[in-house]
Amino acid sequence: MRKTHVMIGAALLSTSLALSGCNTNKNNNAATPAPAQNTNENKPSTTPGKVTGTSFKNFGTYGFDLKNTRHVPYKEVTAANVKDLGVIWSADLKELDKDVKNGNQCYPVFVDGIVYITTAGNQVFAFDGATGSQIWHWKPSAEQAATFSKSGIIANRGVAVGEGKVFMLTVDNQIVSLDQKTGKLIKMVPISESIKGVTLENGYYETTAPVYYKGNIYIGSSGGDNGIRGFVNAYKASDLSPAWASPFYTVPPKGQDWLANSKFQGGGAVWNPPAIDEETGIMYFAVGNPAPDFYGESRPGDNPHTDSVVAVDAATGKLIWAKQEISHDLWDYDAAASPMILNATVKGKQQKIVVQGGKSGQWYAWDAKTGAVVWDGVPFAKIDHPKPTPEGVTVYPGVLGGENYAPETYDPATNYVLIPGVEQGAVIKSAKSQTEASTPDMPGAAAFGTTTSAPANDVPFGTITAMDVNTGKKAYQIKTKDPMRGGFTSTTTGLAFYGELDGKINALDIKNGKVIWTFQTTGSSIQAAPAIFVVDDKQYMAFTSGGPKPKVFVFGLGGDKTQGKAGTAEDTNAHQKK
Amino acid sequence: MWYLQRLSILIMTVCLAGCAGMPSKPVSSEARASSQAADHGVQLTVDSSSLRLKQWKSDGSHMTSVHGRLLLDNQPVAGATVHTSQSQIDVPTGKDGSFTLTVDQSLLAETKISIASLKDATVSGKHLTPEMSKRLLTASAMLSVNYPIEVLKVEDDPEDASKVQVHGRVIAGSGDVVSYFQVDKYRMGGVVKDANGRPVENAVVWFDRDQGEGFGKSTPTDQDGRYSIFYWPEDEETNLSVTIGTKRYTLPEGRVFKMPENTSVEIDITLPEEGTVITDHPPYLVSRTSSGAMYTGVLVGLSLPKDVPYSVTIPNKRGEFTVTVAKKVWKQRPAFFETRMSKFVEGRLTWGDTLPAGFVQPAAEDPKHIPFKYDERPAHSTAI
Repeated sequence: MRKTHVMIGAALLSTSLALSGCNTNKNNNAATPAPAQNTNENKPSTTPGKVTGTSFKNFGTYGFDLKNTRHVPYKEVTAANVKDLGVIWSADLKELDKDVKNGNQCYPVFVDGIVYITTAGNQVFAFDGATGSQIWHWKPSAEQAATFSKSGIIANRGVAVGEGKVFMLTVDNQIVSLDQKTGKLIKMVPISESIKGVTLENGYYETTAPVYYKGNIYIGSSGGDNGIRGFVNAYKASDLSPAWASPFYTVPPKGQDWLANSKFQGGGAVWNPPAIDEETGIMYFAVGNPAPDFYGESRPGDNPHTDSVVAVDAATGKLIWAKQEISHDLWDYDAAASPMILNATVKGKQQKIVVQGGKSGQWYAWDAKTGAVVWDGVPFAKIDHPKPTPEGVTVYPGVLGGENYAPETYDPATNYVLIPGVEQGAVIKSAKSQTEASTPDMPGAAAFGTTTSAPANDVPFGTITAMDVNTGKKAYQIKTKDPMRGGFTSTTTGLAFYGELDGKINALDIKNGKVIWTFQTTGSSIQAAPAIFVVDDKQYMAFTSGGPKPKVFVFGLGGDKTQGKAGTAEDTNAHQKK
Repeated sequence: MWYLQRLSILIMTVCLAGCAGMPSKPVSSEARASSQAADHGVQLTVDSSSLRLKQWKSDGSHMTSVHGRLLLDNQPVAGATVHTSQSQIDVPTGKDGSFTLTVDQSLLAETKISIASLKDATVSGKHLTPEMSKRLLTASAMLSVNYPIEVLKVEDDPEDASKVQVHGRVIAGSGDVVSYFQVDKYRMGGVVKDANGRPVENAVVWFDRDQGEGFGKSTPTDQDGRYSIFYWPEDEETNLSVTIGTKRYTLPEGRVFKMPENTSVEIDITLPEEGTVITDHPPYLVSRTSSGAMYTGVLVGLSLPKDVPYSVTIPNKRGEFTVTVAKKVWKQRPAFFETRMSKFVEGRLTWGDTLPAGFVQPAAEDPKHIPFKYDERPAHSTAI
């Protein structure tokens, strides 16, 4: 067995250690939302708060629409007035509940006046979108939370809303449905009831937001690097019972097909929500890397469907097509981010396509119906990944991508897809020994114990690439100080909003790639894109920030323009990277 | 053939669920019928009650459809809800009483098909009487996905004349590789103690890779402070931590735990009296390699009551295995079962090793009624 060893060129500090000085960055004028009645630290509110407004334009699902375009038709904020954006309200989530964990990767969802936010550690907050008043709050029991109290694998990317319920997946592999009005728990069902062995002890966990469509919620699976068998499954929103006859497994069972001679399970996690075409009922999802990440010998061939985009019938889970980005991956090059369905101009003609950018630093487009290749692996990052040697080689992209979990957005006016990029290499070293140990009993074969962790030796940065869908060529690419970890949300007025790891929020003029507005929040480590929504004709934008003091910021024209002190870029440890 | 004399076994929790599936009487390999209703006027049938296990294919062809029908006194029952123990969903019967099940043919399984609901059911356009419903609810059928089995030879056991050795073979599809019982994972185990050396109960040990993704979570420590994580062997640096409730103990800052590969390990951890930093040297952190491994894979056994002893070997690469069983038991032609089992074994096992009586048990959902091909020519009959 060839053995590789990876050394990431970045300080992999846990979030609890990566404290910045932002505690002192008091935003004097940011309104702290008043908790709803009967709220205290340990008991969720029992009386829902009041919702402001009578007319709403929603951001009702992870990707704004089921196609995941993240492009809203709201017009109030423009290039001319974006400078007047300020904080309408903000919330310090740890002040609202001390058990909120560090870090946050929640993509907010807004439905009928209420913003739904999840936290690391699987709490859910419902805030009045216009005022920040807490409508309700739900948290898992202390006993349940203790099962995933470990830092590093507790990220959550948000909720789905449908049929009067709010759905969330917990780190310990449970599907939660809450009453949309009150936040009261309706049902919590372990996924292991329907898919045997889906437990933390077996390496499975859940970080993805579910998606609601036509009576079902759709979920993926995290843990590919733990050697789980990746899957997608559908559950009835009504009672959380399975809606497909069988989960769609992305890789064979151990011992079959390309895993015939493997000691390992196959990986193939589905880290992020699917895109669904409501016209055809076809669902598209991105599949992560094969396992083990850096061993190739025991998994010969292309390793389908890892590092792929897969199309299935949303009603049944039946395979329609699958296209692989990286065959026989040795570099942890997941297709991690959610695919996006576009009605775009392609080679001068309108075409419905599915696009996805991989951790490999390459961007792909396929015909939505047939999977026929439209654009095949257009590079948007430095790409240089030679075969690993015992002496070690530096590979680009590193294990963070390329494009990690951060979603793209699509602007129909320019026909550009914006790609959030990470530029960070990694040193990969193959083992000197080629010997495969086939028996378990080799006492003393390897020295082990504690040792000094590897130092940081690289300075990562990010990119924003505007991909012209018509030509499959880069329209422009700009460099960002930090890796792009949160992704974009764009507006019909030609603006794309994104956050950075130092707590800044920016507006990009999509047509020319110029950053025309920047706001330094008092938060840090922004690792998710915003929800943009309208209450009574006023446009709002909700961002979450992570780090040691996770917060929510809601912006609007005329809000408080007091900036926080410049933050310090933070990254998170590797488990939060997708 | 090496007999495993002192096999110490730790059964995974996951394996415990449904391990009570053994019959009180031998299941005959010939007693098979798709409809098991006592009422002969009730017919719940499927077009194939035994499917050959088919390997997973990336084109999805391992997913297959099985058609069935529900009749009452030869009249189709429409609008009934058919439930299967394996499939995740219930399916309705059509006007002609037919229904279609989707089956993952790549997984060993025995599925019971039954009637979940007759709320909307009709026969000849009329709702059912309570008596009709009662009759229909007794209907069930079995659907099995398994590897076919053939018996190659039966001969007297040279060591015990009251027994026979049954030489059989699991028949895999052409070009298929079956993953028979073999090393799957290793165990990281040990004891968590407090500063006074007393075992700590309900602590959870975690490790996560310092330079990459992946983690392991232990079982909560028992009253003796013992924990287990079943993990992959990789030579890597990990963050080792212990959580008790919401309190988390970690290694000193900047220190990581270097895991060995291809071996189980014992790591005993003594928690500090104050603070949450684990002192990372003996006697506070004691690490050593240990024997044993988690084995996983396909095994074969006889569907016999638990108190009927027999032994079986681990199938070899060609699927060949040997069962040693009392002649009088074999005369009843018990059916075989197949299971994909996971067990921690302290010793070392390899293909062809004989497993002791009671080692192999089917789970509830394993196929337990597998008939076998056997050419019972007179030459063989001398043995039985």
